[in-house]
Amino acid sequence: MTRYVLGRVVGVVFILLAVCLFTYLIFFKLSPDPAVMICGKTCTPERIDSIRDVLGLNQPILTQFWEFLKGIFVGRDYGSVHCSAPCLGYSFQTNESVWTMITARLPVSITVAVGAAVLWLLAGVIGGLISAIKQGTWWDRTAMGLALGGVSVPNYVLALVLQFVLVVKLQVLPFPSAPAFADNPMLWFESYIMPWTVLAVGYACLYARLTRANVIDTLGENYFRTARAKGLSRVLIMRRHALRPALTPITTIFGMDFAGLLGGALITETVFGLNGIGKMAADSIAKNDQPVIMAVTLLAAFFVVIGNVVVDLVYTALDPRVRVTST
Amino acid sequence: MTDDLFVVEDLTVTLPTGRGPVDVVKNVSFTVGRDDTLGIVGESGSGKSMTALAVLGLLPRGAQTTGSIRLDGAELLGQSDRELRSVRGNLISMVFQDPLSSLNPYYTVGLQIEEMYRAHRGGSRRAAHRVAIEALERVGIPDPGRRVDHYPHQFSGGQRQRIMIAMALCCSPSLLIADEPTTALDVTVQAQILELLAELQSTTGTGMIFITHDLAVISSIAQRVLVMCEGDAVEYGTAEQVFSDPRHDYTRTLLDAVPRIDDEVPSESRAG
Amino acid sequence: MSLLEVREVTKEFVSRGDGVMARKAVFTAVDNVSFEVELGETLAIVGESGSGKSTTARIAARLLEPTQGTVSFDGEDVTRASGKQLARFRNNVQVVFQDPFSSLNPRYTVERIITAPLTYQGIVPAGGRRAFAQELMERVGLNPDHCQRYPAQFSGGQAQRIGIARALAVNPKLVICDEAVSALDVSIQAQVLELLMRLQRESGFSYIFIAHDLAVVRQISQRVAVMNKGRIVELGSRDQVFAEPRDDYTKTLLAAVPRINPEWDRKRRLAKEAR
Repeated sequence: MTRYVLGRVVGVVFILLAVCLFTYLIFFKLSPDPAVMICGKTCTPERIDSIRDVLGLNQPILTQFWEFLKGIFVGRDYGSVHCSAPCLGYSFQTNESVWTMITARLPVSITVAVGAAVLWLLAGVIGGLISAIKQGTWWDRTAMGLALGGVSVPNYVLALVLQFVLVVKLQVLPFPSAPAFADNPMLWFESYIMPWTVLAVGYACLYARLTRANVIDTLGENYFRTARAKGLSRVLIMRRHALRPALTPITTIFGMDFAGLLGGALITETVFGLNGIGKMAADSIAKNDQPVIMAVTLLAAFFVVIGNVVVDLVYTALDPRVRVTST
Repeated sequence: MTDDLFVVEDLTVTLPTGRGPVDVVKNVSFTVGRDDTLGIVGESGSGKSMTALAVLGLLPRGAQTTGSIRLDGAELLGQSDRELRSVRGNLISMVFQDPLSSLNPYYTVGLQIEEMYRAHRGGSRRAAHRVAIEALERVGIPDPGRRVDHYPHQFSGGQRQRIMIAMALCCSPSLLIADEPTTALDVTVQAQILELLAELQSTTGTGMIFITHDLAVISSIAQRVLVMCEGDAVEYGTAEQVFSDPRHDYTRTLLDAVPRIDDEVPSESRAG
Repeated sequence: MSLLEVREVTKEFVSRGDGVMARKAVFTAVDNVSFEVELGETLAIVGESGSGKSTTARIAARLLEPTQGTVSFDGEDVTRASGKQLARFRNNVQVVFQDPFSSLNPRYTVERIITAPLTYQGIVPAGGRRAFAQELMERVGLNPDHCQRYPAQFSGGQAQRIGIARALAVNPKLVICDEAVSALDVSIQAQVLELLMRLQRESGFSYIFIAHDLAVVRQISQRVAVMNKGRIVELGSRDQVFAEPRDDYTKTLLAAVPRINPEWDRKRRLAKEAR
């Protein structure tokens, strides 16, 4: 088992390095001269040169990459300024430490992701389960029709419509402002409820269809028939012999979806004006803020790759047949 | 025949199909005495498995059943699912063909036996756990105290079937229905399972319905035999009578077709 | 010289565990197996699950390469044959599989299925493909008018006949039947066995008949090999293996086979003859 985990960890490191290098090369090739950008409007050629020097832009590309990597682990010096580990550079726009920007905005993204996840899991799984049990009835057909519709609506449309109706027209909710929970719980809830709903809708519909398909499969399994033949109560049969086996593949998909969401729900955050990683990514791309873009990409890749490994490990915990242990 | 344990009269099962309703079991009648074995023989499509499922109310949705199914005089047909739940596993138990897919792979075998015991007898988890260990021991699973916490895929095919049998008998039902229990097993393992069933039957006095396509197996274990063909009961009598003096053409054809392993190879099918 | 000679064949399967540095596990499916098949005879290979009989059949059919040992056909070593040499081998050795519905292409018509081997061998039948297919269908007991149907439209026994027809299309010298009747109902099984024996009488080819059912094997074979855990534990004439088995495993196997009560059976046969 340890061998397996070690192997995965090594794999993760390689993938992250590759993503890092790839992103670095793309931005190096495509972005305009960073020194010019930092310099701003009142610029002299000497100033540009000195900035290039500080940033190390005159060095070969791979050396630059190496400096960047080193900076993440041990910190880096830009001229007289010391950027302590993990050093992801400074924003070209605001000169803020990118790492500080991330730590400030990550809680918002995590709140959005967790809240949406809770909603979509409850709605999706329960909806799918009921549909499967009532397969073929009007309930089932209506629910699956709605699910298909829900999955098809682009979430920025839903976000804008929701915001327009609830905030502008009906005025039941304020414009979201994302305070900390401790400061103002009511406002916190009112701010997040809309982004949670928008994100949850798409996923819930998907998970409902998925759950329904999986449960229908397990209802047809031989062990389900055995459970009925044993005279167990209906609740027990549904819980242990229909739902539990059906949930295993859903858990792994959920792990991947959630990990992806941690990297920031770009559109949703932007529409609702929440200061999360997603909005930061959108802003930095629009303004070509290279260090921030790099950092955000790396962060998202990190979550996805880690999520992948966690999901695989969780799967072995969920499915006894896949365990690598000996008897 | 007032002392008959289990009586089926004029059982008809109709299933909805794409081509309209089809009678898969047509007016079948038979009885099973206490600690007797009835063998139901038939090829694929004969309706033998449907008959078994009908007894426990396990037919697919939309199936219609008419006739009478009586256990110890009590009518089972027409009972609600809730009422039947106290019969299933408790008074009538069933063992299926493929033990690997018939056991839930996500739970230990111990839990699967315990949940059945507790559903009918109640009691604490610890008491049920002890019952599960005893059940495994009774069917010859070595080291039952440890293996009760193992998962189905950690056992061999023969052992899994023993576990199914242990589970089916843990609440001491009056009737055991075995639907092709040895068809998926090797012949040496089959011999062991048949021996186990015979032994358990004699110690517990359980009646048994043994469903199979294998006439040779029926010959060695059944007192009465029912032969089914495409939903009809074409032959019904004692084993001796069905095998030595079959009345229906289908039975005769079937008996002629069974390859023999002893004495003369029939001249029509002698190889060169 | 035997038609097919399998000499000291071993087949090992290596499984690579999970992870970066995992131990390899070696599973020996076939362990030092040797046997011969003469022209015109039927050799049965029997065993329970895991005995290695199917793997052996596949090696004999050159669907697998053995890890060690040789396979010779008509005196020629075909163990590592490929290309033209393998094509010639296939012209002489054909296989009938257990489940016709998964071994016949469900999207091909019967005619196409039966004549496909001819295409692969580059043989053009005189009189056209359809006539060829229909003649073969008649020979195996199928209605030649059904040559444009698809396998799913046939019953299990009929579909198996299609598989047999396909195997016979190239006029092979050896047909390997891998559990060919195991999935069939008893009455159909008897008919298909009868067909296989009739075809052999008419054309004189050999069979290697793989099965787990000893009673079936007894009907069709002249010689029998019993396999257990990858080895052949007994090899001899049918009558000798069934009446006087030498190996303990064979004896256990024979004892385990359920039998119809012989007294009852005799009574029935006598009554039948009297009629």
